[in-house]
Parts: sequence; C-alpha cells; structure tokens
Amino acid sequence: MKDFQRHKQAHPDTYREKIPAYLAGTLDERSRRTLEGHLPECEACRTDLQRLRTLWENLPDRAPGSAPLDFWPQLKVLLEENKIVEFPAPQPRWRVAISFAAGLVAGLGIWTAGTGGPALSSAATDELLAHEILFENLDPIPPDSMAGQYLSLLPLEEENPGGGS
Amino acid sequence: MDEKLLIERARSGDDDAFGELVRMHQDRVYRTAIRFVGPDDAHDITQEVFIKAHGEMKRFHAKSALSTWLYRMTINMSLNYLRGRRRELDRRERYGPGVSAPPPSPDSGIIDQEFTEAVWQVIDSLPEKQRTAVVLHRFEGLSAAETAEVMGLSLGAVESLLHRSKLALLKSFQESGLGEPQNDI
Repeated sequence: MKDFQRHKQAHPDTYREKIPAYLAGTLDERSRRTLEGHLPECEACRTDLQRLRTLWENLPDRAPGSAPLDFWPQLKVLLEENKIVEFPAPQPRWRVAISFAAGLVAGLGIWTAGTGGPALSSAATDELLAHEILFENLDPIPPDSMAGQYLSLLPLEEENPGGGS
Repeated sequence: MDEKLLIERARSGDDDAFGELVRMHQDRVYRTAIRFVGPDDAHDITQEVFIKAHGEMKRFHAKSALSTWLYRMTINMSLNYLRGRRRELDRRERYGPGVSAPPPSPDSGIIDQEFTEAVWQVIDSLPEKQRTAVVLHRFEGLSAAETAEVMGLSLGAVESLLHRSKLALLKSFQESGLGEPQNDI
C-alpha cells in the first residue's frame, strides 16, 4: 500500500529516467516491477521505451563498405617503394642487466682504487687498467688552455703527498 | 589456401602469401578503422596496419589468431590517431581560429547519413574501452569471449563493459531525443 502511494505520487520523469536501465537490464527488481506497473497507464513512457528499443535494435552502422578492390596492389607498391626498415629487436633484459652490472663494478673499482679500498676482482681490475692506460696515454693538457688554467688552481696534493706546498 | 600455411610463407618473406592474407583480412580491418576514425582516415589506418604487420610478420608466432592480432593493431592505431587528433583540436581551440562546423547540406537525401553520424557521435563519446567493446561485439559481430581476447580482458570485464556501454548509450539517446520522428534530422 505504501509502495502504491509512492508510485502514484512519483513524477513521470522518475519513471522515464529508469527506462534506459530497464532496457539495459541493470534495473533492480523492485524498480523494474514499479516501472512495469507504470507503463500500462503512461503512453509517453511506453512510446519512449519503444523508441529506444527500436533504436537499439537497429543501430545504424558507420561502415557498411569494404576496402577498395585495389587495396593490395597499392599497398604492395608502397611496401616496395619504402622498403620498410625493420628495427632491431629490443635487447633482452639480461643483457641490459649485465651491462648495468658491469658499469657498476667498474664504477666501484674506480672508487675503491681512489680510496684504497679492498682488492678488486680480475674483471674490474682489467676495466680499471683500461682506464688507467687510456689516461696515461693522453696528451698533457697545455697550461695556457682554459682547462690547464683551471687545473693550475687545484691543490696539488697527489703530487706532494708529504703535505709540502 | 590454408591461413596457417600462408602465415608461414609470409613469415619467410613471401610477399604473395602476405598479399593473400591482406585480401583475406582487409575488409575487417577497414571496417573497424572506419568505426573508430570515420571514412576519411580509415584507408590510411588500414594501410598503416598492414605495413606494420608486414614488418612484424617474423615476430608473429600465431599464438593468437591473425585476425585477433590485426584487430588489436587496428584498435591501437585508431585510438592513437584519435588521441593525436584530439590534442590537435584542443591546440587549435586554444591558440588558433575556432573550427566551424560545415554548413548543413540542402540535399534531403543525406538524412540517413546524418542520422547515422548523430548516432555515432554518441558512440564516439563513450570511454575508449566501452567503445571498443561495442564496436567489436555489436558491430563487428565478435562474441563476448572473442572481444575479451582481442582486448586482453577477462570475459567478465567485457560483459561489464558491454552492460555499462548499453546503459550509457541508451541514456544519451534518450537525452538527445534520437529516434523521435521530429528529431531524425
């Protein structure tokens, strides 16, 4: 009885709003029954329901056509003209990981060599050696160059380990 | 010829076999592209899809159907294209002259086409996943399970998307008055 009173008092828009959910099957049981009770007495809602149902069942397609008949011949010419370049496959993750680890070991090696750290592994020693050889074979920096002038400003501790200036 | 055999031959560089595969699948790729980007740009998208497929054929191991692979590429390329176009439109609206709509055509024979476009404007406004599910299931005729495979989602997720998209579309159709005789443009 209470439901009936509420049903009678509800604004017609309240029923209308429920029509999409009714058609989509997402309306709860109670609301569905209420709407079905309302439909026989409301022509506007019946018309709206029918209109939406018809539209949904007959949604027009944007793509009734098919690809052009000469699609493949055109594409073949395009493929031959452009000779699509294949990009190299991305490196496997283990390769990236190994490269990272090697860089880390080399960095650690340089750091420990500078601070008198523990002995390095043979691989890291090789890496460090390669760097030392590279640096030893570099041409001396001319003192009148900008870099040379900058270096002249630095304290020369390594050249004077005794502490004398 | 058997599709598996054609795929094997195409993977080993046989362009005639690849061409046969293109002929077998070009319509579905083209149709799907039209449903996402419209007829003006669908041809370019279709070409891009097959150019990419040609370049990647060696990496296609047929774990899924070729059609599934092509659908995925078509959808990804179409959505990327639309995102770019949307950014360009936003930029023009912000910095350039406003984009004006073309004047209405006096030709009454175009009514159906305009009605179709009005319906598709509503479909285009759906979120990407809902729209993809609707295009594949409702218009391309794929089952919910096939749609789920193309989209890389569970069946339940696709069913939920289909329900939500149906509700959203019906609400929009109701609000816009589409389907009412006086509003059929």
